[in-house]
Amino acid sequence: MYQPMLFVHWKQVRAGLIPFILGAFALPLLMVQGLGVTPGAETTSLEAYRIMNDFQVWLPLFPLLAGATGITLALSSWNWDHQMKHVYALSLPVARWEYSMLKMGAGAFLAMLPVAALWLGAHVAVASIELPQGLHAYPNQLALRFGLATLISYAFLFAMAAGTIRTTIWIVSGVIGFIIVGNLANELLADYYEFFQRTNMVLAVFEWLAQTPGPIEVFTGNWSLIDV
Amino acid sequence: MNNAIELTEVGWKAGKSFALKDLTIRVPSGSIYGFLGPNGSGKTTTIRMFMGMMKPDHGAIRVLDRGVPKEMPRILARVGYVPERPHIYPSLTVGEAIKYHASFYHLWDGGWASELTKRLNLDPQRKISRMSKGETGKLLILLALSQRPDLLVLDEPTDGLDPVVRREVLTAVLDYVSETSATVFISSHLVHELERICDWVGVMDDGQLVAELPMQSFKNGIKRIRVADAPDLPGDTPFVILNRKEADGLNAVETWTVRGWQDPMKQYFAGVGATLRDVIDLDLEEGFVELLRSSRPHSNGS
Amino acid sequence: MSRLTRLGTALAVAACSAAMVPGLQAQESAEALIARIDSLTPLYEVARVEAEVATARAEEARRERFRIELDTLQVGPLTIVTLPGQALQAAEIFGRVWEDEYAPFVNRSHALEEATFTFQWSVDPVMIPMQGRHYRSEQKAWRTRGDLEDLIRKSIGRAIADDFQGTQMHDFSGATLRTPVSYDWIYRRLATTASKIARACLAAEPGACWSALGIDLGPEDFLEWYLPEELPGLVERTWRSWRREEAPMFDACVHEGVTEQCEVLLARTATDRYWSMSLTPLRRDERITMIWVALDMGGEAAWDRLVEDPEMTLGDALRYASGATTGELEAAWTAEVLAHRPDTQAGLLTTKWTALFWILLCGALAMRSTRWRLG
Repeated sequence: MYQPMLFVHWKQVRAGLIPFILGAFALPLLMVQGLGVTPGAETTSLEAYRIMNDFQVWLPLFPLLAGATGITLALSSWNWDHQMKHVYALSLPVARWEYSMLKMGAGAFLAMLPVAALWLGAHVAVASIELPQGLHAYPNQLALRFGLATLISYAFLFAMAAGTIRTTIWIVSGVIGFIIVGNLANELLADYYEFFQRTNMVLAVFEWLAQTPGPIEVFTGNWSLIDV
Repeated sequence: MNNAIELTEVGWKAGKSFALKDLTIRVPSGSIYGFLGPNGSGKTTTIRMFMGMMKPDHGAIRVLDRGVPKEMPRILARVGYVPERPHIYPSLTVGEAIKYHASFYHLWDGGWASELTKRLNLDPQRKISRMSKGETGKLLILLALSQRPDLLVLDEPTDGLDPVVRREVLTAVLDYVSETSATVFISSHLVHELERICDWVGVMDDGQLVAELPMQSFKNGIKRIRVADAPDLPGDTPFVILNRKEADGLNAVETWTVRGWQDPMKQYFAGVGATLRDVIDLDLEEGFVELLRSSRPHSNGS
Repeated sequence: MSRLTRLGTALAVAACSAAMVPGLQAQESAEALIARIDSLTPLYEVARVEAEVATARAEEARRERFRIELDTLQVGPLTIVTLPGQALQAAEIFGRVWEDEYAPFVNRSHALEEATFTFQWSVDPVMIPMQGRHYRSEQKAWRTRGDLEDLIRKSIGRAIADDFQGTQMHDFSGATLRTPVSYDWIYRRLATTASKIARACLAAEPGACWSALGIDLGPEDFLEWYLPEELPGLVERTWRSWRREEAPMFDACVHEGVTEQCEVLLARTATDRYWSMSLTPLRRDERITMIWVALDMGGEAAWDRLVEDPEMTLGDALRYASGATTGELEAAWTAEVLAHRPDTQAGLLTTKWTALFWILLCGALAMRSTRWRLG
């Protein structure tokens, strides 16, 4: 069951996934290309300064790529089922939870393709330049973070797409509602309650999400391929 | 196991517009059960109920002696399903769809699938989205039959197909049934088609089952009779009057449409001072129409 | 000046300016000009009256504000003025910062004894009214406690730097002595800043770090710190934009890479006692870590020795306070920095497990995908 599912998912998503695979491979190379370091030449701290300065602009692209890859895989995972109103899936002799699990596994496997591409690209990029003293390369760590970020965004969207439209509406409405109500509560109740003077609930929640042990923490960490 | 499908007092409501009303259906094992009804009568909804795709508000459903939806995977492993609209992924080719489908069924008969592919003239390399309605219909039948199911559920399988394809599809089904003791549940509004192949018939109208009986009884049991000097109030009749058309002008002969007719019932008319002039056989379609007419409000039936 | 007063004055000035501009632009005779100015007199009178009314109101509001009840408390040498009901919090937060970060090093500080600190952590729109030398630690919105501690740290740092007002140390510290930034940040700075002396410091060459900190070596010796190709970047970072006459030299240095022009500009910056410190490869908060190293090495009374003689040079003051030689001070500081090479991938281990948790959780939620999707 798993292999045919993997094949079907690949067929669904390959047109969208291949650009991400190529992008993941190319991004470290492009980043390094733009650093102005002459291959083989002795590097100085000026190069170190330029490297650390210039590649900052590239850093946000990695989490963006990871997020986009995960989202593409997740939405494509259920796309055909949604189109056919799940009739086919529901007529198959497999429990719904098992079907979801197999699908998720197929998507997770495909998610490893851009991760592997990024890993390879990062190693090639690092091998192509001479790093100045004090700087080191972290291609494995970058690929790991990229993989985790891709899988998290995939898992989140997969779980949402696995639900009904009603569930999705509830979730999205809940998030928007929380943001609106939270901000209103702070505005209106700050004069009366100390808690609302000290704490912006919405900000506090987002801060929690973006730090350990929140789910977005992997996106907000260190994405530097080259660092001290 | 006596019944392949059992629905007991199943009810379901969709807002104010439509409802299944305490539906009780019994599909005998090994039968070819024709599920008739006009468009919008609830046929597809009923099928989705026992296929475990829609949850009834109340009632019990059993398929192949297993409870729905508790034992759904086990049930579906033995059920071949052809839905009203094609449900397989359109971007696959025929070969890919067969491979994908086969991976879910332990009893998949690859040889039979290959034979059917040739017999139904399907190209394994052809993309489903590029196939005609007829070709898609054939593919769906192939997938359903190659599973070697104990129960075939066909929801309007020949709707929109040309006569040649329709015949191919039905022939494949009948060939399979003749080899095995599989039960076939076939839903359609094409009455004349079912007349030839079904041995049981259930008639749906407006969410209710208005009749369920062997096909022969259905066909033979609905007659049009011409009665002279008919009483105003017929009283207790041994048959069910579906429709009564008054005498016109000088001719004092009424036309009755009745259900459950048998020959010995002729004696009834002598008892009420009427004369039976004629008994006319109706085909299934006519009988079906009269049955529906009588089941709806403002009918002339008793 | 209150807001209303400012508004009134601005209106008057704007009205006058607007009215005057056409006259100034045109080639008019003196008489016409006088006549125009005379015509503005009524407008000016109106604005003046408005300003007086606004000033009176502002003064009344200020007097009203001064009637607010305030709490005053003492935490070590710190005098803190706060709003009613916030004394406990003030004591707790100021106490934590002072006891943990300053008290171990600072015995007695005249500057702190003379200064007053304010504390306010609420959405109350009224600012604590203060006169005289004071330092505010006030947040009027929902912020973290860490943000408030940081404000307090900066306030104490600014106040305590007055102890060495007018000395080389005052310029070196940038007029503040906040507690040390993390050493791994300094390591990062040394590794990535465009300066040959920073690179030498990272390689633990003797004398390099002492030089990079700009202690005994004067800022005019910046050529010791930077390669010629690093000068344009330095100029771009440090050039003060208010020196307009130097704009052509700036363009030549930064955009055309003419290093001689860079040297001229830098030499001028180097002569400014305060701005010259911006030429060092390390920033203010990083440089002052050396002061803390010296205090740490000097033990008790190190602070008193540090501020004892305002005439002492920076290097002498540090050696005197620490009781150590230049080499010993440099070695201690360098060892601290090199030991703090940042683990840039720290946290990835924890991230792995938290990410796995969330992935599994989402998987579990996805497995609850319902059959009942139709109808």
